[in-house]
Amino acid sequence: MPVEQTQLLYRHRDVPGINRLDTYVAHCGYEQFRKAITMEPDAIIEEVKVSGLRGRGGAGFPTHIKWNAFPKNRDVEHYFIVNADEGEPGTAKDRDLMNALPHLLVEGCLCSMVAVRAAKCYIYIRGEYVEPWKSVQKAINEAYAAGFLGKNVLGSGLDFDIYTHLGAGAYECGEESALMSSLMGERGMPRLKPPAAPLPMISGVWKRPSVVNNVETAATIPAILELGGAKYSEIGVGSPRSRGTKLFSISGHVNKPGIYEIVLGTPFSEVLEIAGGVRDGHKLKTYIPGGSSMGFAPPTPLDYPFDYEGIPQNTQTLGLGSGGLMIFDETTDVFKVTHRLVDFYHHESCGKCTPCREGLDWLSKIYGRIASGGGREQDIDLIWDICDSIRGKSFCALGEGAIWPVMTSLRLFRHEYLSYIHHGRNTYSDAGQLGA
Amino acid sequence: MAKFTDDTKRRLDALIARYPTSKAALLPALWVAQEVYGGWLPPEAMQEVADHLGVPASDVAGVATFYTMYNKRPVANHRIEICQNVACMVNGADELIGYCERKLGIHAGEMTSDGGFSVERVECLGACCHAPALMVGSTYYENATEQTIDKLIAELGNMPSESVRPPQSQMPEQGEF
Amino acid sequence: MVGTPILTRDSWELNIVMSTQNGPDRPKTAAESADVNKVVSETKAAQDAGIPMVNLVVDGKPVSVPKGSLVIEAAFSAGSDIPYFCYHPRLTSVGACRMCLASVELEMFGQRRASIMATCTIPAADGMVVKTTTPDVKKAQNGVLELILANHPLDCPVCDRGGECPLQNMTISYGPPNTRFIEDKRRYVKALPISEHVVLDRERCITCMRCTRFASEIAGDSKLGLINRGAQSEVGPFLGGTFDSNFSGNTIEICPVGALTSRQFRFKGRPWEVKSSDSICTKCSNGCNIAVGHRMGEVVRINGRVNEQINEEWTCDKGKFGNADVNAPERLTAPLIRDAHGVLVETDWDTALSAVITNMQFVSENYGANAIAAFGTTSGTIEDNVLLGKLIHGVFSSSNLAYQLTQGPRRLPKATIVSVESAKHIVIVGMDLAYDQPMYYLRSVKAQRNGATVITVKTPSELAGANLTSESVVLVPDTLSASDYEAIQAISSEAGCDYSVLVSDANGYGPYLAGFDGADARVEDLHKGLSASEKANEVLNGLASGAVKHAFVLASDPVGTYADGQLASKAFSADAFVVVTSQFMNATAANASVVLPIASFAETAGTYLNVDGQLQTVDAVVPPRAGTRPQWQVLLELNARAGNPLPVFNPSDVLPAVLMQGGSE
Ligand SMILES: Cc1cc2nc3c(=O)[nH]c(=O)nc-3n(C[C@H](O)[C@H](O)[C@H](O)COP(=O)(O)O)c2cc1C
Ligand code: SF4
Ligand code: FES
Repeated sequence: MPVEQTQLLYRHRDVPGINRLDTYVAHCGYEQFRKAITMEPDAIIEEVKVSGLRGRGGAGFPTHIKWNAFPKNRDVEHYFIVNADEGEPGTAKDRDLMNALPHLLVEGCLCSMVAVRAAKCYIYIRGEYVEPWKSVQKAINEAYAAGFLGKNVLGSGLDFDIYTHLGAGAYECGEESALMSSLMGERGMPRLKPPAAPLPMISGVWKRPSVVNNVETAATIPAILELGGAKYSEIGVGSPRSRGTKLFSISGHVNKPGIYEIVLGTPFSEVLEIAGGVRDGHKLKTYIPGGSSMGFAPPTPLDYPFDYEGIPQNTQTLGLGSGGLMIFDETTDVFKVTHRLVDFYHHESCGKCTPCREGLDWLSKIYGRIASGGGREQDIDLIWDICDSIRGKSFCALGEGAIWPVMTSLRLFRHEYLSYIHHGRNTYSDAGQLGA
Repeated sequence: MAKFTDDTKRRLDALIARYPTSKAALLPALWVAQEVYGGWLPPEAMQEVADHLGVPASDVAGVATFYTMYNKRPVANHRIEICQNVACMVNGADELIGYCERKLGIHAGEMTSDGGFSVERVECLGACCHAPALMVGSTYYENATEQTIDKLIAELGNMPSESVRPPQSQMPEQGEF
Repeated sequence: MVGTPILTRDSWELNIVMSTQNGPDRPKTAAESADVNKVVSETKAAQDAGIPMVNLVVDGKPVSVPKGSLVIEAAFSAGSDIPYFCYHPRLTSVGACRMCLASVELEMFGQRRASIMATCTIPAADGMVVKTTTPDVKKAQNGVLELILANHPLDCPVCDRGGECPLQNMTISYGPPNTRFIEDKRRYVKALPISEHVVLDRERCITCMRCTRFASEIAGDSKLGLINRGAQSEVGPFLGGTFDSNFSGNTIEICPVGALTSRQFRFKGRPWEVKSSDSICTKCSNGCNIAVGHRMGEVVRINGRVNEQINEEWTCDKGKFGNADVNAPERLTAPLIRDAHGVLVETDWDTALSAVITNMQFVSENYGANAIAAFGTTSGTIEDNVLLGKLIHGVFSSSNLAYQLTQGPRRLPKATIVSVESAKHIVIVGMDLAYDQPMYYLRSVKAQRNGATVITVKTPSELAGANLTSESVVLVPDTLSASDYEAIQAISSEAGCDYSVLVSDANGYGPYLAGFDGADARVEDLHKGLSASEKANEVLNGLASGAVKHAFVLASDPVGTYADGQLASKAFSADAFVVVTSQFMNATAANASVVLPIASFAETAGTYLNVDGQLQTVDAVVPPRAGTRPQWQVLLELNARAGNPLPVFNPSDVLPAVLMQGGSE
């Protein structure tokens, strides 16, 4: 029997007008914030801890650990920062959430701000996302008008402000420390992290306590408060450490691409079914489970729990990531897809550290050469060695993420590389259907 | 020649007020400057931003050149920015780009001789589930086809470039309730 | 967190050169040695000062370093070597180049694990175990170096940095012996001049951000920044602008490759043929310690040398590039004497010197001792002044020994260069600190980074609005008018603070210490303050009125620089016999009867007392330009010719006793 797909975030996704305050409130909107504002901040963090919530932005780090690291007072200003930079190829969930359910995000931010004792929240939205930005800004304005934001909110004596901040085209600004640099008006370069520097929760933006959370992470908080952490943690059919539901953007060669809220641990085959299965008449060749930085997974096994633990264990990819599931059928030229990704990371590398800046520049040149028929067999080892020089040595995780599609494609599809090297084209895919 | 009017400066001050430091308003300020300077940021625009924010000019240049959406060169009135990343690519983005190139008689990255249109390859737009996707100004067009392109070129051809203003000009006021 | 799945290539051939030059004893460039020395000496000083230490083990050797030290610094202190590019002991860590990888075992999130980390970013902590030589570490370093070299043009043969290039050095010791990079390298316009002094070669840049960090953190003017991103990142001044900072030259020295080079030094010699000698810069009063690079007797460049009390390791551009004037064709290379037609013509030293002595004797015999006067020098050495005193006062008994060409009260400043660093409120009056007192400026930038407020006011009257408190440090030039000093005195004493007058010449107190203006000079008096001297005015009036018939002007230019310019011109157009020693023609020399061409700072030995009272002695670095003579030798000869042969073989033989006993604080 298929897993019952509890809908928490998307429960009211399709209610007409849910992006307006009145409709949202009519569907119990801001109830959880009303509750949160009466709670002890630590009690909220405790609920989040019990819920088992892990960051939905990519790294899957337990949210309560970050939140608990904040000073337990308001001696200096704390900042809650929302990461709406969504740039990971294959990921489109935050955009949908902001377009369709802006008030859910605002409410989630408010609950989170109570928990981390922040009076100010910045939502960092990537520059391309003008529609989501307007949607969220409109919701913020409505929330101010309704008294959920502003001074002495709901008589609590607490002030809450939420600001939106538009990026300007840099994938790296999704990396949380680079995001902070960018928010402070600097180049979007990552900053030192522990043990080289204090935790951002101690000294983050403007050297004050700050935390960066993903849009979806913030939007999940109301559901946790509504159900209670314990009940939330019962959702999930896979690993005991992967709890709740998660939004997946399923794209590529499926019949019904789209954004789906899926219970963590649902077998991958069922996830695939939810998106209508591999497009008709074709079969699964490979897929990227959670955004391009996670790497390519082999077509088998299919029946494993699709969650934080199940994915790396069963596919040797980096993991669940941001939930950008990309499906590729047998027509896919994996070398070409990898080449595209290498060029993407090369384009987006911030240039701060040598391994990423030079390694990706080199890789991009080698891929270009192989694609145009100048490949040599030793290039395969060279590519691997370059990856090895990036792996674990780059300053931030962009470099690390960039080499996973490369290494996994080499591991699984070495023959396609060799085909380019020996024949100047990919004899394993029908390039005609790919639009070469 | 300075182009910031008193109104521009008021807008910048309103942005500065949102942050603890004036430097933090740099990204939004550059958006404003890009709008004031007609869609791109010549060095004078950066200098004006630097002066108003009290930030070294070289820092402003560093920031402006880091982000791809700040244009360092004059741009076409209508920029057709087509996503070339994987989800779009496996759904025909390359053909779409090719179609657009042929239709306008230019290569991606170039603009038509009258400055009316350009075609640009951009990275993942976050529209993977409705691929291929493209963006003109600040509007997305998803599940795009050759017909989408035909229609866009036909309709936009007659529109002034103001219709695709850079986004920050529409920045809603906030926090003033 | 999820454990990262393991992916491995089947065979990994270790591509490591185990060079014999690798490890702590590998040959280092001067800059690298300076970095290590700084770290090691600071560790020692901290140990002695009882600062809290942390204990860790590096390559099996226990070492204790001051809390806050980085792992790479602990490794230096333990005698291990870690290659690096972006790390610099005076800049904040960025961890950009990733060259300084080593295995660090530490406890994080309750787990003890060893992993390869960039040691220039990790603070040393108790119980860490660091390994710098394991095969994994070598492989990682080798890999990063291969990447750094990928786009680096191997144009070392025509690169000014070749021979003293950290990248070359590190490659010899830690790098791959060959390249696997067969692609096209990044291309840029080569040798792009970005200022009067600096050329940029972006192809060579490895984006370590040392220069840009220097510009924002040390020079504080952010005149150089990063532009573009990723593989297209480049450094440069603001678009279309120039790198116009008074400290631009330092970036040349800290650049670990040949991306920033000196226009002045370009192709003047290979670094290994350039000899380096210690010296002191005399372009201003700060007394920066420099290393003069010279090749075949010619000064080719100036580099900074470490002196933590003064310039740390920096120089200003005026010092770094301005000293090239020792090679200037305009230098005087033969004595000049005024001929019968009133024209200055070249002559030989013997003729010139005997003309000087003959006139002195004539004047002294016919008009009395005080018809002879002398101006001491505030830019030459103390010894030069002593020898001049011996001649004018000792031999000819004149008491007309003047020197002070500025109106500033003569008093060593309370605010020393070092102390400014920890000031909270700094007020600068009527000068451009970056150009006039460069090292005070750099410390004020440091203070500002630590939260101090720094204000500049144009005139003393604006001082009233500068929120002076008793903590304020007020910095004043020595070139204001007497009434200005009164105003400053009034405003600052009301606020309960002191003000510091900063002399502008290399040896502002030198003549006083040589006994000018009174018999027994004492350094303590300089701390207390001397009453303003009327001597210069007196002598100039004497010249103007005709009472003074012979004036000996030692390396200074009263006509060009005296506060009362009118009086000075009048004085020197009267028809006294004027002798001027100088390297260059100047307004006073133009009217002189005899002009004696002297050696430059690099060609002479002697002692200087800098702006805040530090006594420094230098040796000559190169032989004097042909035709010129060191001033002390000229004066020795004049003494001898006047019947006063002195047993002096070295300038320090005449150094006043008060200074020999460590008169400086
Ligand atoms: C190169 C890079 C890009 C990233 N982009 C995003 C992003 O667009 N959105 C996001 O939420 N997290 C992104 N992340 C992850 C963030 O660094 C961070 O882990 C996350 O925002 C934390 O929020 P969470 O704990 O709620 O997941 C990115 C990470 C890297 C290394
Ligand atoms: S890995 Fe290095 S170059 Fe790449 S984005 Fe991170 S810091 Fe920048
Ligand atoms: S020296 Fe440590 S990263 Fe550059």
